Formats: sequence, C-alpha cells, structure tokens
Amino acid sequence: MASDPSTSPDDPSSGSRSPDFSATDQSEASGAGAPLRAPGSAPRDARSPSRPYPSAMSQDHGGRVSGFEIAGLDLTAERRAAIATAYRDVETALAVLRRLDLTDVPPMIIFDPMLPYRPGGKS
Amino acid sequence: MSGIPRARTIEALAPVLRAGHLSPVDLLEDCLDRVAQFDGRLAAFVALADHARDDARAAERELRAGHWRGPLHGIPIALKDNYLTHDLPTTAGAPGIGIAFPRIDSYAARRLRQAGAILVGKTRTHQFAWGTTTPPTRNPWAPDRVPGGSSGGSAAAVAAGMCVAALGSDTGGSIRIPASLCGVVGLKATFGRISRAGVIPHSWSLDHAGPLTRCVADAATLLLALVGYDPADPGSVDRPVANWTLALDQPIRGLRIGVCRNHFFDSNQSGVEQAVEAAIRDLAAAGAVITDFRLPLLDFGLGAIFAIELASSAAYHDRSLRDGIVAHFEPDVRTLVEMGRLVSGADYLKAEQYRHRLARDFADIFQKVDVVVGPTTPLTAWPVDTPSVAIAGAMESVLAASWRLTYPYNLTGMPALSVPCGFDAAGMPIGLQIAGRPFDEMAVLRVAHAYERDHDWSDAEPALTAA
Repeated sequence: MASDPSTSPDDPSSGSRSPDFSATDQSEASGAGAPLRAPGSAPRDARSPSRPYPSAMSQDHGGRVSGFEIAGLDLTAERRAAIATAYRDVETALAVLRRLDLTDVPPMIIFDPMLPYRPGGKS
Repeated sequence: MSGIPRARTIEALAPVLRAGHLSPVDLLEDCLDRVAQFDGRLAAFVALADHARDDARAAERELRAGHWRGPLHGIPIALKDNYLTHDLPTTAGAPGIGIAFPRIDSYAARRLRQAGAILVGKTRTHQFAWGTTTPPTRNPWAPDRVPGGSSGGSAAAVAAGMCVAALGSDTGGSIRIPASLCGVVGLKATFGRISRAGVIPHSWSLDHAGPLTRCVADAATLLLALVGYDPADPGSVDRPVANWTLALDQPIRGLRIGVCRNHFFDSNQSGVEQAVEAAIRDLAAAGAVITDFRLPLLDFGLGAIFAIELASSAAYHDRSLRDGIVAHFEPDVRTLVEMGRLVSGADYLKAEQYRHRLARDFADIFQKVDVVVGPTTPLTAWPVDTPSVAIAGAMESVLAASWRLTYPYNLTGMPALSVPCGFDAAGMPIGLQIAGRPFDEMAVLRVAHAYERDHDWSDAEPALTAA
C-alpha cells in the first residue's frame, strides 16, 4: 500500500464518527482511498508505506549520520543488520500511526509537580 | 493427599483450612510434591522458598489458635520472578549478568504475607517481562508447547497445581496470554489499582500487577487482598475499594455486553472463533444483551504499543545499554531493548495522543455497554520453537499474533480478565477476554463468574506426567 501520509486517507478522524455501532466495515466508513488493513495482517510488501525521508536505521554513511548513531548505539555491522531487520515491522506500524491526525488530542501523560512531595513519592 | 478438596482453589481450600480439616503444612507439602514430580519437565519455578515450611507451620499454629487472617491464610502462592522479595533473589529472568536487584519485599509480597499466604517460590518470566514464550517453561497441557508469556511460569505453575495461585505482570498481555494458553484465569485490574512498587519495571505506563488463579472467585479474592493506594507507586490511585466477591453469583440478565467485530475478530484460529462465539451465545442465553460494534481506531494501535513499550524499555535499561550489559541479554530481548533507542520522541508522544483518543472512544462505547468480550488470543498454545503458525488460512508470526487482542487494554488501562472457554481440536485451552470501564472490575468479575458457573472448563485438569 503506497499512500501519502500527509493526506491520511484512512484516518477515522477525517471520516465517519468512531466508534461505530452500525457494524459498518471500516473501509467503507473511511471513504476514499485504499482500505486500511489491520497492522500485521497483510504481507509486508502490501503494508510498506512510502518513505519521504530516510529510514530511521539507515546505514548510509555518505556524509550523513545514521539513525543508530543518532540513537547513541555503537554496534557492529552484524548487530545493525539484525536490528534493522527486526525494526522493519515497527517502522511499518509507526507509519500507520503517523497517518492519524491527532493535532487536537493531548497526550495521555500527566505532569505532576507535586509528585516529589507525596508521601513515598520519588522524583 | 486426603483432606485436599479436588478443586484446588482458594474458594474451596480456605474454609477447610480455617476449620482445621486441612493443615497448611500438608497443603504446602502437596504443592511441593507436585513441584518435585512435574517441574523437571515444566520448568515453571526458578526458586523455592526455603522457609515456606516454617511459614506454613506458623500459619497452622495461628489457625489452631483461632486467629484467621482471611481467605489467603495458609494458601501457597507463587510470585513471578520480577517481584522483589526479601527472602528470595529476584532475577527478572536474567541471572548472572551483572544486574542485582534489592532484597526487599515488593508491595504485593508484603500484602500477601500480611494476609497469611505462604509464598512458595518464584516463577519463570520471559526475560525482563518481554516476550510471550517464557523459555524453557512448558505448557502443562502439552509439554511440547509454550505456556505463553511473559508470566508463563506463573500460569504453568497454577495449571499444574504446583501452587494454588500466582502473581504475574501484564504490559501488553503478559498475564492474560499465558492464562489463556494454560487454561487458567488471569486478571489485569485497572491501571493504578494494584501497586507495582517492587515489580521490576518494563514500561511504566503500561505495566500492571495481577493474579493468575484457577477460578474467577480466587481472582476476586486476590484482587481484594492486593488493592489499595500506595504512594510508592506513582501510578497508584486512591479509589474506593469494592468487595468484589459480591460480584460473584449475580445474574447477568439485562447486562449489556459489547462485541467489537473489527480487530478482535479479524483473524483468529477457527477453534478460538468457534469457542468465543459459543460463549457469546451462552451469555446471551443467560439474559445479557449483546451489542456488536466496530472501533476503527484499533487499526492504528500496534505502532502506539510498539512506540511506548520499546522506548520505555530502552529508557529503563539505559544503564545496561550504556555499559554493554545488553550483550548478555537473551538475543530477542537485547534486540527489543536496542530497538527502543530508535523510537523518536515525536512518535512516542503521538502514541500517547493515540491512547487518549482510544480511551475516549472506549468511553463512548461504555455509554452503551457494560463490558466488552472477545478472544484473549487469536491462537492457542503453539509448539516450542515455532516462529509462525496458520491463523485463518495465513501464516502469521506467533509473537505478532499473540498480543494483538490484549495490548489495546494496556493502552487504555481498562480492567481485563481471561477465563477459560473451551479447548481446540488439539486439546489446547482457549480464553475468553472480558474488559470493563476503568475501575469497574465488578462488572468484569460478574460476567466472568456467571460464564464460569455455567460451564465446567475450569474443572478440567491437564494430564501431567513426571519428568
């Protein structure tokens, strides 16, 4: 599936209201664009999103810093290859998540300035 | 051993222990005999408590003197090897690699001791609570199959009767998955209900502590023993505690049960699908009102759980990454921890935004239903060292499939329980997952107990053979 992340054709926030008690198929509810398959349910080729920027674990050293170096991982080429292979499914799933427009949704993180003052609390 | 009820449950054992018809010492010895007979093959335990016999004798003296501490008094319970204990080493599945954990009691261990439970030993975890296979532990229903994970040792120990109950931890399904695969009950209460103080962290905002038991009533009993506000856990919440045992034996007529028809039913093994559909029909026959719905947002969840779990684990293991200790981790766990460094901050926060949206969607769902039911896992216990199996006609990675139906409730922090609901053609247990609105464990337990009461799946026992 080669979709442009910027258009988010499968973003339920841009389509019908969710959740849906009418048991309508999501591909119908989301309107235009290719139907989104559940992550992990399709062949890898079918799920691979387009990548407008280099992969996070790019091993290209032609003047650029690789994702491993950015991440502070000093690894052998063998380890890099193993992690790059394993990370492919994660990247695919993250690309699906990035299609959602959640601009107006605050993250589910609570900053608590009083935590160190709670009995037993640790800063 | 005479005097031990056939149903080796807290519910059955507590009255006979209290009445003096059974000694805690005899009950413990029976459990230890089973460990000696079967654990050579099952490898569920990593350590047994030397002083458990002393504790059992002390419980016996107290009970004889009429000092009954409650239903856990004299009950042998095991702890997953990521719960700190003052009297047993904790390794989190990583012994001898240069990481030492404190010899202090976790909150849960302390509460269980106060309740008079006999802490019989530590059960095997998939290293650092990652993973769903828990090597080398085997499934009591078929020793050539995995027990699930990461609390696989706890599930196998309970299923094999080597302890009466056990505690596990659940970050993406690690209580419910092995409970489903081993045919026992596994409960992940609402995030914040049970303190994680003294449980080795895996992913702070996803981790839950909870029980694995032989029946729903026992899960309610252990929940009651473990809940309570604990300032030592920043995620602990100060909420009223209900007597969840009151949920038991309540009719479910008129209760509204939701069935999420996407995601949870996209791709399941046929045996799982049939058993769960039969369970839904049975719940309807018992008077529950069944409502189907779809939640399209679930299709975006895998990236969210990956981002949070991987990044959190990498942050927790930062010292090991820096010092090179990760080179001594199990290969699969090392890769996961190292991958966590690659998750960007933007993706992590997007995942936290996603959680908010998903929780809001579930809140909308719970305007119309009281609980949501579906399969716990899309597959049953798979053969050891098998990377992929056929699910709904397609080969799929067992690791990817095994947590697909459980992690949504870690993202939302909702209470969720797995209760046995049948067996597949190979005789492997199947789990029915029941989830509720936050802090409504009562509804979850009520439906689970009503289902369990009308079926005899929990009475089935694996045919164990000594090593």
